[in-house]
Amino acid sequence: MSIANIVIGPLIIAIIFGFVVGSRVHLNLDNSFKFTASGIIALIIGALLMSYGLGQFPVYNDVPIATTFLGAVIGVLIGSALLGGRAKGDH
Amino acid sequence: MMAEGKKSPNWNKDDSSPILKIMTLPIAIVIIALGIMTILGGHITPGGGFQGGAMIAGAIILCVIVYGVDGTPLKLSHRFISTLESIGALAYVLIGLAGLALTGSYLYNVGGNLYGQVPQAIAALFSYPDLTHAGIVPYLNIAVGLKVLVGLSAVVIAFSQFKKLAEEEE
Repeated sequence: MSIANIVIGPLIIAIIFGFVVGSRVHLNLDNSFKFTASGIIALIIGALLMSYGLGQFPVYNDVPIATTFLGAVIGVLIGSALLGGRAKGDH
Repeated sequence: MMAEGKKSPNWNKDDSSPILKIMTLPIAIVIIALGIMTILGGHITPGGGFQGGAMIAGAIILCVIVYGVDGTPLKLSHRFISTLESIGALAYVLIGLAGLALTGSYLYNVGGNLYGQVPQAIAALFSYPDLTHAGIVPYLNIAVGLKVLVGLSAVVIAFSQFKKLAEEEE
């Protein structure tokens, strides 16, 4: 169990999947959670704690945290920061 | 009863409370990440494409319920929904057709290649990059997840707009 043996494939897919969904998340709305630096840090710390509680998938045995969960959170945040504010919702 | 002179907060009765509005978006992001984890662990843990897609759709539905369909921070446009739906369906069919073309069996696990019917070079193309070597199963989970997440969300977005549609027609 070491970080050198980390399974990178599902992590990358999780980041891409999170990016796709996160590209539709608007972060700059007045009436919702404010994504300031402190808000994002709190969210990432919460995600880290949660991923430790969830644990890694059974056969991966690389790190004791759920890397796909963490990658998905980071993907959503990156996607929303890059594309979310400009996504046009026409529903 | 309010005391004379004290003004009650000017809440809009149709609006959600500020607590809900502040907490819903981070919770929705966490639910989305859990859904993605469920999709990607579909071949080794309970869950899979449908369950994970339904969880992501649940996060989108939660936002639509709390913020309203016009003010939701998780806005899915018509083009986005149709694109993801098409990608999911096409990916599933094409991965299945790869098995049909190479071995004669639709949805043969080309990446796993348990029966050795496919050359190793082609099997390597379809293999999933983890320790389980599950082949095409995780890719099918991802395709189903994409379809389900936009399908269920589209149903709820459509339902939430029927009232507005009926008012416009009157």
